[in-house]
Amino acid sequence: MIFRNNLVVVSCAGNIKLPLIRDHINNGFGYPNYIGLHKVFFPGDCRNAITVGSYADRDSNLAEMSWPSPFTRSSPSLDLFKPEVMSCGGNINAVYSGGQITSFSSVGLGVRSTSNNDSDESENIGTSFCSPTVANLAALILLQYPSISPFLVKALILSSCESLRNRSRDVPEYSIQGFGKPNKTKALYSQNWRTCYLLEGEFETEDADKEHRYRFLFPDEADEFEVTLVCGKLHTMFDGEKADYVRLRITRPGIKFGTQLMPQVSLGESKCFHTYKAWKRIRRGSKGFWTVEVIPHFFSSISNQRLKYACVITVSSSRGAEVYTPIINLISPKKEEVEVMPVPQLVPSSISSTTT
Amino acid sequence: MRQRRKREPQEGKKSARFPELSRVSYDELSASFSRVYSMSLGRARIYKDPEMYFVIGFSDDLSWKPIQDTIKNLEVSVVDLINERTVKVSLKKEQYQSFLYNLRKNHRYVKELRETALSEKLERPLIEELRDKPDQEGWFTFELSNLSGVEEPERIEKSVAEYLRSSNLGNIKRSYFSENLLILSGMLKYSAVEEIVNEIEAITKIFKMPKIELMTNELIPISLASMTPVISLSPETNQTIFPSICVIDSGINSSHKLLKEFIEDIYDYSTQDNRPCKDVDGHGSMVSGLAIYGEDLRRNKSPLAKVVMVKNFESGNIIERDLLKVIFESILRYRFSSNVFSFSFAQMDQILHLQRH
Repeated sequence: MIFRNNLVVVSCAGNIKLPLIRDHINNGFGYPNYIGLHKVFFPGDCRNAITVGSYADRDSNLAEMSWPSPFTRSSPSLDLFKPEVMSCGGNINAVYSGGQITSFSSVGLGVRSTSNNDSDESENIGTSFCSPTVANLAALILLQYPSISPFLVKALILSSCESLRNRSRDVPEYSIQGFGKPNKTKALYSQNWRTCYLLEGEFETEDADKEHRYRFLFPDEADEFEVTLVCGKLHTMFDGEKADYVRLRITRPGIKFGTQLMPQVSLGESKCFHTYKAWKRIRRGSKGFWTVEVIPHFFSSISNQRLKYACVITVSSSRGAEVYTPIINLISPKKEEVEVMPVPQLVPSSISSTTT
Repeated sequence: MRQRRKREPQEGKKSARFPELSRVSYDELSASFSRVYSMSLGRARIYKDPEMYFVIGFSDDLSWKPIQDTIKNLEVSVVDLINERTVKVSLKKEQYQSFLYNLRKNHRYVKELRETALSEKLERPLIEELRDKPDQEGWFTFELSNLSGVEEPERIEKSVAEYLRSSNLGNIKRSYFSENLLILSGMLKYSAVEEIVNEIEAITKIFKMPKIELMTNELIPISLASMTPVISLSPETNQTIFPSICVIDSGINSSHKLLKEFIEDIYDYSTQDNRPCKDVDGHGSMVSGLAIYGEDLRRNKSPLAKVVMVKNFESGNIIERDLLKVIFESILRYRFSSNVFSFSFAQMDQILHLQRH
């Protein structure tokens, strides 16, 4: 019902109770290993929802800065990748007595927000305070692009995510951190050196043998590309049934590379049950029009089932070269109007200052 | 003395050391090449190309070294790879005799020589569409890859534009140019497209571009290869409209100076009414603050959104136990004002309660 009404649902991953954390660590099962035992519950386990876990933005004696908070929950299964994103939910310090943890303190480590006392702010910790920040980002995306589907909103948020890393550049497990923390600018806009293509579509059970094909330009200036795919069914919001999926096939054009011939090749084919993200660096020469094919796969033959997908393809230059303008020049039919506009004459600065 | 038997490559089976042989005679190949050459000479109406373009089909995969050597020995330059055994090449027309001489020596793996088929440049549904409605206009993209000369792209562009202008069929411009790709695009009549394709051999592919808009909820036309929309660069204007987020939580402090102006609506399940929605726990007010300001108040104090608060928790306990009913009722009530729903609760031990530490 939620997704038929084109609404985005953001849910928190849920907290691990503090006495449980104390027992785990006291029994020698330290951070972050015990997080894997505690799975995301309803409504965080809804396939189509965006589930948000928590990371620490300050150091404590348990978790380092930019690593998952000690109380965040983890993915219920390999098939269902939750939480998908991380947001700041605070951190906790363990208080030791005789080598054993007796209690926890979160003073100065929590999230600061408005309190229920007038003109006052309060500080607290928990994954509860992670979902509203991602909901805010989702609302801003919908304000910018009002007609896009919740799946594309989710794909944009996931495509903007950067992996969590501590000071020694270690990355936590993906079943805990999901795709990482979202970047607002990347989710909302393209940059000159980084351009996002959006595509979305829908298959019905009757379309099982069809495939959707898109083409996009990979300019000479670009050398990296990233694809984020989100798919889901509209009629269900709960996990539990065998999921239908889509397959994604990306093909780069055939080229002549020096004297060597490189025929058109597929860059691998990947199954996507609900979220998928891949990144690749492209060597010089693989430029031109690339093809994306989306192929549905239905497990059951019950009619009137709709499988929706949304994909964000990011083409970027690691050297910071201009990627946005060549793409826009190519696809914008208004180009002629822009060219007709008179070019302003450059005036030497000394003359312009006297006239003004 | 025992003689070592020579192994012949078997038909249909890839030999371990050699690619499959073509078994097409030189006479047949040279006849088809002269046919291609004479057809190419006849194409001078729009642009007189010093080069000719044709397709060479090989008897085995292009990844074979002997086949790659054949291409090198034939002294042709590769323009496009059509499939794993077929390649589109270009050759200077004046090299006609020398090509035949090279072909005589290197035709072991050459299976066919032919012109590029129309279906290799245009998708079949598009060919039908072009023939059905010759007077209609559309935005087309012409792709020319791996052109040999530096001046060639300019000359092709100029002559096509001149032809279209003189016969009043549309307008075309260069929209992208890189070391291995030239793209011409413009608005032209359907009838002109097939003619340009037939006359200019250098064109590798043609696409009809759909009208570019940002995503709609309708299915994007995908029967034809299509460009996809791109998200825009960041604007410089300040935000004036605030989107609304629906939060199901423990109420809100509606007299807080940072919150009061950004409350779109409230609903209280304890009274089944729009009042009082008071926040006893402090959880709902904190969540609302984060939903409005987007991050920690230490970092940002400029509002970005508004909230709709649905109160269903008090003192850490749930008010309406049927949480699905609460979610669905909230959707029905606020689906036109809020597009985003934020839940900060989770089911623990089969009991629904607000999680706080």
